[in-house]
Amino acid sequence: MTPEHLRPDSDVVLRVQDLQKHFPLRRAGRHGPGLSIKAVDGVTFDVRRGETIGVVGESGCGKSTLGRAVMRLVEPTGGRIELMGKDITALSRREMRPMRRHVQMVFQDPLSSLNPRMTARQIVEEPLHIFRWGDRASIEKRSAMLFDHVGLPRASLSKHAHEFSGGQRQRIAIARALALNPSVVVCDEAVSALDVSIQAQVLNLLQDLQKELNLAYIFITHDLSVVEYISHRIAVMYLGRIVELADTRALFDQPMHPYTQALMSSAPSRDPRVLGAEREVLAGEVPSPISPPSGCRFRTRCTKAHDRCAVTSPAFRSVGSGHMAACHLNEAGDAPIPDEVV
Amino acid sequence: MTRWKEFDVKRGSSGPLLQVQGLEVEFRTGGRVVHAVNGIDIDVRRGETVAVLGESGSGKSITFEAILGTLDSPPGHVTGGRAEFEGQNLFDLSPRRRRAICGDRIGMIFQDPLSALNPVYTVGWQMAEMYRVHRHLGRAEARRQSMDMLARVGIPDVQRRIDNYPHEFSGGMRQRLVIAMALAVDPALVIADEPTTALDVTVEAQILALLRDLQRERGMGLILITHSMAVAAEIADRICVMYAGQVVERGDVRTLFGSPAHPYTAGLLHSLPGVAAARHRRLTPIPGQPPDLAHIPPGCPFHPRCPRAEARCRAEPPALRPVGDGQREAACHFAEELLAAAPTAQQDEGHAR
Repeated sequence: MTPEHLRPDSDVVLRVQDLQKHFPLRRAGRHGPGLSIKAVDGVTFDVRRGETIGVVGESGCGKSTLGRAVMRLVEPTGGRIELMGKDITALSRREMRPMRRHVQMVFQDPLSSLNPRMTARQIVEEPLHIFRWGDRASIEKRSAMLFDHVGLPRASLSKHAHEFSGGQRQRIAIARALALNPSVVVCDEAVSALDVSIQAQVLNLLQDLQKELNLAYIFITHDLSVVEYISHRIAVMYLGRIVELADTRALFDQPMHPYTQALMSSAPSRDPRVLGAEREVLAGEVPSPISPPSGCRFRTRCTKAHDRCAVTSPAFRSVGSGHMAACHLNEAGDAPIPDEVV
Repeated sequence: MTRWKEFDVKRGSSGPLLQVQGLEVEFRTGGRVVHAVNGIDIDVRRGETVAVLGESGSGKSITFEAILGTLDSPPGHVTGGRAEFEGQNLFDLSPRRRRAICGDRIGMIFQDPLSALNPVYTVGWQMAEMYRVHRHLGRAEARRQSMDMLARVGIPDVQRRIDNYPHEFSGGMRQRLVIAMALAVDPALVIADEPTTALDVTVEAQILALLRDLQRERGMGLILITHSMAVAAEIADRICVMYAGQVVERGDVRTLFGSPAHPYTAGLLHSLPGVAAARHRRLTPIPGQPPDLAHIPPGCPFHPRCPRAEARCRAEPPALRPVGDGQREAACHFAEELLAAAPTAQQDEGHAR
């Protein structure tokens, strides 16, 4: 396999470099130094055509802010975003507009992201009108096709959002996201609110659409089972940073960062038929993103932390083919200590 | 507390602590009748954890709201059945008597701790209220016992934290607080409705471990209402699977997840992304949607989504009956065939943990 940095770039649809989003809380002045919430604090990754990159982490780790910053729904405070080879970091609203059709989003709660006064058809056709897809007939043809794609009966085109079940609403949201033929779809907890039997239907739909349309997904979730099922590669976030990034199999078979290891061992068993596996409990809670710990941000909860972790921030570096992690333990001299995941 | 422990021991019945039989609940709104719970039998013994597993709309929460008397009525009505707790039918009691039992002998833990807490009182005040109301303790003694209990559930720095307000606690700490309040007066039974659903996995693991420890330590009965098979498998001795307001399968955890005898239970297992991912398989979702509870299909309520439904399933509602080795009951006409055909967990060797 070609090392990651040598792979041809033509396939990269989205490139994020050292992205930052700090929300200001207080300006520096009489009251002391300035404070800000460092929601995303230096994140770098690529998304290739047709791949799913999972972003997983606990609440407050910055995964949703990352998804929004990538789309410039919130303005990044640092770093660089390249979409389809074009730097979009500093584009004005007007310049950004034509780029928006390349990257679309599906939210967690379809009821609050679908206009209750619009019919399903109006919701799906709205982006087509905004981007002047074509005449009325071609727009209608397109929306009917999108309905077929996401598995909704055409007869329900004139219903309103509240008349659909949760899973069907999410299908409408997906149809809307796909209307303009995007290259990247950001799914922010897109299946988290659904019951398992419906969640499975939507996950399969997302996979089918990906194959058919060669879509890239940024799949943001807190659910390890879901992220394992759907992702080709996974980024694990902790307090605004990616601590580990690897192919799904490599990450689950050999997690290199102590946080990833802790996250996996504290997650419930993936298979309820395997009983008696007591979860290892990670002590404590996530520190405040206003003043994250010095050095490595995980050190306050890490069982393997040593003096150095409080002083220097570990570099995000390669620990294997396409496998990146930010931990001093994986640096030269120390043998990596992956916990066996059986 | 010891006093109440002895009281339990003296009563020392080996029968169920709570026995629900044939419970029916319906909601009447604008000429529509929604049949939320349709004849449910559930029992819990002392020292036992029972998970009530179901998806949204299965009636799992409504069942316990009806039992505890917290059902919104109208529109909700209990139209049949009984709920015997320590020998008395809760539905026969006056609201006042029932309230005295709930909170004292039955503790409750809800999904969203913030809405179960009063924002304008300190943590210590709310906690002490349990002892003042149910044990008639004085202020100082109530506060002292509150501190012990808060320390027991793992609230750090209790001396300082006891004078905080609920909003100053994190989600995990709030859930610990609500657990402390529910267990303060040593109830015989605790009902926890999705206690970890709003929490991150690492915190969920902490809270489940705490619940399990407290349950063992105090020998209480625990009912855990959940949508998560993983949580149920982790903590429960027995499981009740609900669908459309009915129990479709119940039994020992190992038996039930190891070889489900109801197609709905099997369907849920096949819908789990973790199981599919570990085996590099595509998910097999349950087709269709859960039924509209105002128009529950005749016969077996699951038949429109069931891969093996036959004419009989559309006509004749299956009764919940013992299947296999008697370790479980299922409400399916073809439960025996399903059991015979399905590979067991051992044969289907998983590499999930």
